[in-house]
Amino acid sequence: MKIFENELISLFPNTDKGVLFNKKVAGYWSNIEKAENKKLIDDLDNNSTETVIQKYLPHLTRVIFSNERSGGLELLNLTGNETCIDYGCMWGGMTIPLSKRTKTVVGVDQTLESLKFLNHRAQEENQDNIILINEDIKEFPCLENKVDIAIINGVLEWVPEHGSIELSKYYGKFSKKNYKQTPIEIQKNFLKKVHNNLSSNGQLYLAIENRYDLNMFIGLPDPHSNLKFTSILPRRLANLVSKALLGRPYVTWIYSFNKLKKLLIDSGFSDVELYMCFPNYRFPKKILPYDSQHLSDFHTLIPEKNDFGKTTIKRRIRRKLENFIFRTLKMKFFSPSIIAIAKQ
Amino acid sequence: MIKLLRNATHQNSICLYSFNLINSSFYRKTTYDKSSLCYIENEIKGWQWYEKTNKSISNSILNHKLFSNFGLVDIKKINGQIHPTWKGYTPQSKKTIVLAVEHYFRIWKKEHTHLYPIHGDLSLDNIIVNNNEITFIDWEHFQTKATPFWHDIFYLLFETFWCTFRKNNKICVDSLMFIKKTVQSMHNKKQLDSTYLKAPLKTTINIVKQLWDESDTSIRINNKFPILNFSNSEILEIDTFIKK
Repeated sequence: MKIFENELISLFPNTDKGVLFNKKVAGYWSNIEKAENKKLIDDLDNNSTETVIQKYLPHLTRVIFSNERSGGLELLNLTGNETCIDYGCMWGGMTIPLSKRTKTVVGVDQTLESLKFLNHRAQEENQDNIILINEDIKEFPCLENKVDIAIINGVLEWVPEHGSIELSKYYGKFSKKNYKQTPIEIQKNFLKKVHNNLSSNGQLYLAIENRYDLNMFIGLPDPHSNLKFTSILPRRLANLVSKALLGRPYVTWIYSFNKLKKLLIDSGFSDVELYMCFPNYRFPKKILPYDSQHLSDFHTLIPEKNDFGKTTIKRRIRRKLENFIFRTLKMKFFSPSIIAIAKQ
Repeated sequence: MIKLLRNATHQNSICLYSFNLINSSFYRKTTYDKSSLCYIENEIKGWQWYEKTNKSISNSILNHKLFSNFGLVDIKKINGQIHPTWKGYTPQSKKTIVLAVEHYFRIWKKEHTHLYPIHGDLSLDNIIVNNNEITFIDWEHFQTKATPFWHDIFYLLFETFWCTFRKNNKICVDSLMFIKKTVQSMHNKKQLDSTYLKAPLKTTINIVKQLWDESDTSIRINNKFPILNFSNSEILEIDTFIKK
């Protein structure tokens, strides 16, 4: 770990509250606004991370602290000696559990505040094998063949975005923006870098929404743009809709199972294994190999009752539809999320 | 081939996986949550106790790791069938319960104590039947010296009844007759505690509540143990019927 750590320190010689950086990063991505984030970090001097989240962002408690997020880690066949990078680690939903199973985890994120928060969390959990780096993941330097596990959990779709994103001001909101490359070019370049960093036995863990998630067809909004049907529309049409309604093209590209596999192979990965993830990759309850035979005992995970203890007609229809599509028709390509495990 | 079968149900932060690899097949349970490590520990202790008293199974725990912040246990797969709890009382599930009563009696009677070890979650989902051979699985809630004899079986009878009750939306006399007959056969094998004779369902519920009041856990017990959702009038009606 020491040699690896030293190499990172030479690449990122500056520190700010336990976070390494080279130069100030311009980008920002967070569910919360910058001012709110600053207030939260300042409060960490007096309170635990959990207390602070309960105080300012109780609705994000599960997102940040739940161990459910790590449900897919067993797909990686971990030995405990791995050096890992969690690209776009944010508050450490995957970083913390991964650090409990492996030798070293490098958490990379462009949002300094998220990393400062994660640093507090790591200290609270007594995890001293986490190295935090403030850098745009697209600019992360080459660590050729030194990484055993690369984690890209809910991040690939955001890679084409740039600049400052405060989700509350971005999600479904109008803001004019220009992009120099197509989303797939940016994503492919990023994946090639990730691939180059992997050791010969290295593995990639990639989790992302399925472009053809059943929910997209019944009018649930795209989880990245908050526009209906954009993910399933042809890209050009989605672009037109997004430009008209949001002032910017549709760039948060997600893929079908087959297209994702192709993208990974085109980026240099091999032995790509695909998994269906229910109800989503953020809080996976079931992860099944991408094969219809595993859907024969499928049972919907949509709860009978909503948060207020009521059963609605819409909810009943959704439950019946899910069971029909997956258990009866075994239409695996409509699964909500994808996890891909690939080799170097 | 690896599958995630269950993740943090009833808020206990345990993941359950099925591994079907070229040279081995097993279930894996993991947790990254300190407060859930006890379930991994119970699972290991439960299987160890079960193996000691049940010579037909051995080497069930293939691998385990228990650290201060992470726990893992690999459990050998057992061949056989499971009759799902949610179906409630069916001819097959009744047959399974009769076999489970015999099995429980054979295994548990070897203890010489007034408080007996408890499986703690004996539902139809946790009973594997293979050619009339029974194996209890899922020992996350195992405790030693915890409850009177037959408690697990009472729990099994009433949880299955709860599912029948939910499915039909009424108290099903047929199922109650089956419970009554089973309780009688249990009493004939080994005398029941007087509290069970007076109020079997109420006693079972009280013991479950008592066990969970004593343990420090965030588990949602009303979801985990559905019999706690019977209303007082339903409890009285059921107990009166069985006592008759």
